[in-house]
Amino acid sequence: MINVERSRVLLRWWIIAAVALVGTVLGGLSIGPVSIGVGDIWATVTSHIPGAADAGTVTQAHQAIIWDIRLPRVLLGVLVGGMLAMAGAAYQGVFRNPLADPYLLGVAAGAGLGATLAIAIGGGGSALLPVAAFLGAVVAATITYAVGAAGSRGSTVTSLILSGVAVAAFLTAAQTYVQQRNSETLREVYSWILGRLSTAGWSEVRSVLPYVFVASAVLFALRRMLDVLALGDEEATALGVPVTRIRLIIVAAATLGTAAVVAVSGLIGFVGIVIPHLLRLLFGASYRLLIPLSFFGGGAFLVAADLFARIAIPPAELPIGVITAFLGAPFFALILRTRPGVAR
Amino acid sequence: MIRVQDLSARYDGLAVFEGISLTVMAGEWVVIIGPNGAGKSTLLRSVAGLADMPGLVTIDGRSIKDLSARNRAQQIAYVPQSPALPAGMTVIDYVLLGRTPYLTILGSESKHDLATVRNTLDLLAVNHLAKRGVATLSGGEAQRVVLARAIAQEPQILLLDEPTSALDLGKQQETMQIIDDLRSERNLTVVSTMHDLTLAGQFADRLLLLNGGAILAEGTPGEVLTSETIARHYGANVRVIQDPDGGVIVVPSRSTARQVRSDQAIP
Amino acid sequence: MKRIFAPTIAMLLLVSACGAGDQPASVTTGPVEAVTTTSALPDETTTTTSAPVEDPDFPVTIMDGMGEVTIESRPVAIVSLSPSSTEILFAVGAGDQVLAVDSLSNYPDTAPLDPDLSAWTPNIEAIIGMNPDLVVISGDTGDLIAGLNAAGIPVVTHFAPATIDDVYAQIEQVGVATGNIAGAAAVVAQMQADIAGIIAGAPTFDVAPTYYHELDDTLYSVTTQTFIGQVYGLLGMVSVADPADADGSAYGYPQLSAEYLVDADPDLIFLADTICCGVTAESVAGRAGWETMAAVQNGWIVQLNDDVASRWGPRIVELMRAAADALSLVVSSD
Repeated sequence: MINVERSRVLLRWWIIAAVALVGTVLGGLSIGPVSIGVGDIWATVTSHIPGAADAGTVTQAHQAIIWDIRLPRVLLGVLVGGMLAMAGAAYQGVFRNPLADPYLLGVAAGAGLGATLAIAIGGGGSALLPVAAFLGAVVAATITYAVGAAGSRGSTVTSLILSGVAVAAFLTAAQTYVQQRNSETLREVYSWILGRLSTAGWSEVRSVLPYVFVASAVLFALRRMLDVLALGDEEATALGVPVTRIRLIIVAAATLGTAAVVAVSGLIGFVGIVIPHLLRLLFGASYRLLIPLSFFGGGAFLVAADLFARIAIPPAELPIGVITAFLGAPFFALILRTRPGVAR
Repeated sequence: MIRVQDLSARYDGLAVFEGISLTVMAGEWVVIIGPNGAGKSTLLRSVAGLADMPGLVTIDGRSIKDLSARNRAQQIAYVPQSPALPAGMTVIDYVLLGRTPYLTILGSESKHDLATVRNTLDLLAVNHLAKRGVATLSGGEAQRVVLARAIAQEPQILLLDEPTSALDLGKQQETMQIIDDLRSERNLTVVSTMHDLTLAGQFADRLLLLNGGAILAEGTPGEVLTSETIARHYGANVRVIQDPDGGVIVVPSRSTARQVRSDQAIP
Repeated sequence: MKRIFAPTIAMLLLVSACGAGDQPASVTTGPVEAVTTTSALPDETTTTTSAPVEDPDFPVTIMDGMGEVTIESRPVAIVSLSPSSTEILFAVGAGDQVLAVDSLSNYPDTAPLDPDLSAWTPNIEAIIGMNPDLVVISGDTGDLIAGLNAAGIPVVTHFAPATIDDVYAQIEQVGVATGNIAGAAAVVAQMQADIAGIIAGAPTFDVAPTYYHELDDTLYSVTTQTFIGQVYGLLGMVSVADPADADGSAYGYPQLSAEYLVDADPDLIFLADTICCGVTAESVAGRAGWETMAAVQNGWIVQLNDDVASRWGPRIVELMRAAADALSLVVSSD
């Protein structure tokens, strides 16, 4: 009886999550500064299926807008939002801390420094930029882990968090210095830091996809481990879990996925913290459910936020990091106020 | 059968105990007693394989260091003094965690696992709590649920650190009885630490008194629980009475005839 | 680092075959060959030298962007914190009166550029320590004006102009402030003549061609109401950004989006972010969806020099010339 009930509950939530995601994707495709009819959208999308008829009456400009601008942008939103939310949930589980987000281990500071250096050397459109941001994020997380694990007690949760704080502070200072010496880069850097999906094309989607796929597959496979880790290092070890190794793998996967999406879309904040919490409020704290549903929830949220970014002040765009913060920060305050014993 | 040989423990550079040896036979219930800070919890954790200390701990002849963590977890269930009860986790999910040693890292629970959990919830009469959050349970309910998780591990050995210290008198008795029943049903070996000497005396097969870095007394409750022993190691005034039902009762006494308690309190 | 490269790149882009002082904007087109244009900037005129004490032009009082400014005597130690003002100073003949210019004032290359002198975050003490007798700025940051005035140094503030006439007025004012009135008048006259000549020689058309002037790679643009927009406007061109700022809430500098531009399909694309952001005609053509735009397909993309496209001074003539040349591409192929 328990089995049946459990699977029924699970199924319900999967359906809701899938509907939410598909709904926002459709919304993102249909709405934008240039109004294009739903029929045209359908014709354009289907015309790309091999063997299908072409989208005869739709203008080339509109076809380009749907297929080359909106669709990759929406897909990128799903990948970025989903990855950030899933990584956030994983970090919250691994660190048993509701304030953890994917940028915890100095990832944001490292990516920011990499991006700033790339912009200072090659300008804003530099091809170096995503690579530098990615490397910066990964190197920062590695340093954090090495420093945090070097203490006498080994890589405990606390030592990692503190190490992350120290590494982030150092890298942020370095970034500020570089910016000061290259003041003409300021605007580019801030625009990158706020995050954007506006430069998305199919090449960005292609470059991000393998990392997100691998990272989310690993996190999905290890989602039960996160529930065990919630009992604390000692009890988890007593249950036969190799805590340090599992923690390393989870952190590595979450960081890799985060670094990849940050490299392409900048530092979009709040998705990683808020979505897992919101989902916890809705149906409880089991990571078995939280990890996969975070992907759906994060994807839907970011696509919706990006949609808002595009239609609020057309044809200009609000930086997406502003919208996620605008929605996320009050919600975050609400969590802190109403739930003193927030799920670990 | 558990055998500990020459176990030593240090904490922050200070020796907690040195060169401890003890044996627990299969099916026995051994209770470790001793004043605060004697190292009872540390000893238990060492037997559980959670503290890497010099010395040898073997289970049925095999050193626990030779066992994989999974194997160890399938044989030993360890319950700490204050188990973590994560907010938002339901009882059934919590007890299900006890099946972790039987799943591969990437696997998920089988029908057998779910059946085991169901049986365990029945056994401990907490079925009605299945959907409740573990963090919302009362002390007694939580204690049972924690035990359920340990039992779900299908261990041979239960290591319990202060399993009753947070409970009221009724719940204390109930819990100890449940443990005893489980022990006989499943032929478990139980090693626990306890504060309450009478309760320890009523349920234990053997008592071990740990103090000053060594095991200073070992034997049946009647042998170990004497007023002199307790006065010397706990610095407490007690009277020990024979229980007509068997066993001994330790009664704190405020007799003014015995003076200078504080002198004798130095362990 | 970039600070060293930028002036170098700017100069490489600007070198022409016609000798020192002639700095054309580069025009990159598709089917048509590259055209180098020349502009005839006035040579540095000699000013009437006079002993500071007996100068009939001084003291002088002008009304700049902030109000009245009185300059007691002919300045000979001018500090410029505005790249546009630097260009104007040297054009009117005050070059040998200039003591130092800020790190971004890379034109002309004879200007005494001080890489530690920042227009963004000026250090008042350091500036005072140079003992200037006049400081020219384009915006007051950090109470600069108050601090310099307190040290007895006059400050001339020339904000970014709104119209081309404003540019002439600034040039004349610089002439008055530095004692180069004749030089300034000559510059203005030359500019007016050049502009008239360009307009006269520009092609005519029935339908006003549209353009997209890109300020940076986040797709900020200009409307016809801006100073840059007026330069294009004199040739009859219309900015596709106009509907995006119809209510003026973006003050003439709205941000556009890829969708908007693909739909608007401007006839010409002018890139004013080739230096800051490394944008080229190729990179524009590679943007998702842009390959459907006529301007991309025909190669009607003009790579401007960032500085020429954004500063106000005698070099707006070059901007206009580049625009007129591009125009003749589009019109001739109609």
